[in-house]
Order: sequence, then structure tokens, then C-alpha cells
Amino acid sequence: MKILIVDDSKAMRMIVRRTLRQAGFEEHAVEEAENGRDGLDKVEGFGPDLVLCDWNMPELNGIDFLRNLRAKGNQVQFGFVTSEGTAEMREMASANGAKFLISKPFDGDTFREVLTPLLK
Amino acid sequence: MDPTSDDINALTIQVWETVLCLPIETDAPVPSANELHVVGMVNITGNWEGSVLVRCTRPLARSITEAMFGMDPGEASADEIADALGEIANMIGGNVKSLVPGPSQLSLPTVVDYEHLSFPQSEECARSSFVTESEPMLVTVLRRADGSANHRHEELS
Repeated sequence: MKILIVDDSKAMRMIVRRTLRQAGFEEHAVEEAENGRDGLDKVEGFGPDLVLCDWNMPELNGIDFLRNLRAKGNQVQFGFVTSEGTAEMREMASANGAKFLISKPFDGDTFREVLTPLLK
Repeated sequence: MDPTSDDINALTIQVWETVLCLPIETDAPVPSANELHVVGMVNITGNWEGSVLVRCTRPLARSITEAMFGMDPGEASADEIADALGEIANMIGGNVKSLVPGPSQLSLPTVVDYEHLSFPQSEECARSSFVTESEPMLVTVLRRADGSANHRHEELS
């Protein structure tokens, strides 16, 4: 399967990649995008099965990226990996079609638990 | 309600253990501000307003970056150091945002290399000092006193 990581921090994109490996998902193809705008292009070109997306980003933030995808009829599996995890944000994420919100910092166990049902 | 120093201690240790995998000692002597040149910062605006600052020495900023990227010593560029310190501030700040009354927004992180940084319209509500990689580090939370979102940076004489 194909996974798109969207985060404006290069360090965090690397940590998400590393955590995917630690969680046992090393066989999946991974692509990266720097923000929601770049993510829209990469979804078109790469065709991911799952998007792991930061919330707070320049250019186009995570929730607007998700809204944009759904407005275009794209139903790719989408989850947030973000430093913020308030109840309001979780509700907003879910209302817009996100499957999960993982709070930073996270570990391989969390990724395994949340992503295993989605990467079968 | 303001976050406490215990909250900051717990959040910082969690970031160090899960993201950096570096040992960290708490309750360290509070370092002098002129030792701490690199500052990673995020602002919270909304129902509660303030800033979360992660301040450390230049060698520690480099060590943190190399741990995050899995680099060899001396390999990190200035942009990578700013990225890594910003992300550390973002992770701690995002979790602080969850502890204060909402709704509120978290800014994108800012990283500066500047020893004389002051926030004259804010008061410190939490502080934790650490030693990691044999270098001092200070994490502070400042609450905006007048409710306004814009901080001023002033050079101390």
C-alpha cells in the first residue's frame, strides 16, 4: 500500500517514517509532502491509500487539505498526526472524514494499534 | 487554569523519551539566560494566551537535531537545527494548549538564536530546567498579562 506523510517539518516527516518502520510497516511505499497544497498535488500523482497529516502547516493546513480532498470527491483514508489533540479538534477531524488523530509525541505501539486495521 | 511546572516536566520527558531517545535529568540548576542562545517558541492565542519557550545552548540544539534526524555529529545544518527545535517547541506547546482553557489556536513555531529575549507583557507561570547531553535546557510557559496576542522582543541592556 502507499502512504503519504504531510508535515511542514522535515524532522517530523523523518520521525513518522521511522515510526512506521518501528511499527512493522516498512513494506509500504512512502511519499512526503510539505503542506496541504503540496499534499493535494501528491495525492493526485502518488495515489496514496492512507494520508498521515499534520494539522498546523503554512500554505494550506491539515483540516483545509482534508476538506479540499472531500470536496473533490476523494475518499482516501486520512488521519492526523499532530501536537494538538483537544476534544474540539478530534470532533472537527472526525466530522470532516478523518479516521483518527494521533497526538505527538507518539511511538511505534500507537502507530501499530491505529494503523493496522487501515493497512490490511 | 495555568499549566504547572510538573506538567512541563512530564511533557518534556515524554518528548525526550519517545522522539529523541536521549537521557534527560530533571530538577537541574536553573541555567543563566546568557548560556541559552537558541530559543524554540510557539504562541497560544484565544481564551488563554501565552507562549511556550524551549531554550538551550547551541551545542545542545545541534545534539537534539542530530538525534531527531539520526545524523552523525557535526552534520546538522542551520535550517535543520531550526526545524528540529521548532518541532520540539511545537510538540510541547501543542500539549500545553490541551491543558489551558479553550478555544485557542497554536502558532507555527519560531526559532531564534538570541540570548537577550524578553516578554515584558507576560508573566512566567511554569518553568522546568533540565540537563541532557551534559548541556542545560530550560522550558518555560509565559501567560500573556493583558490578553493581547502580540509579544514584543526587547534587547536587555
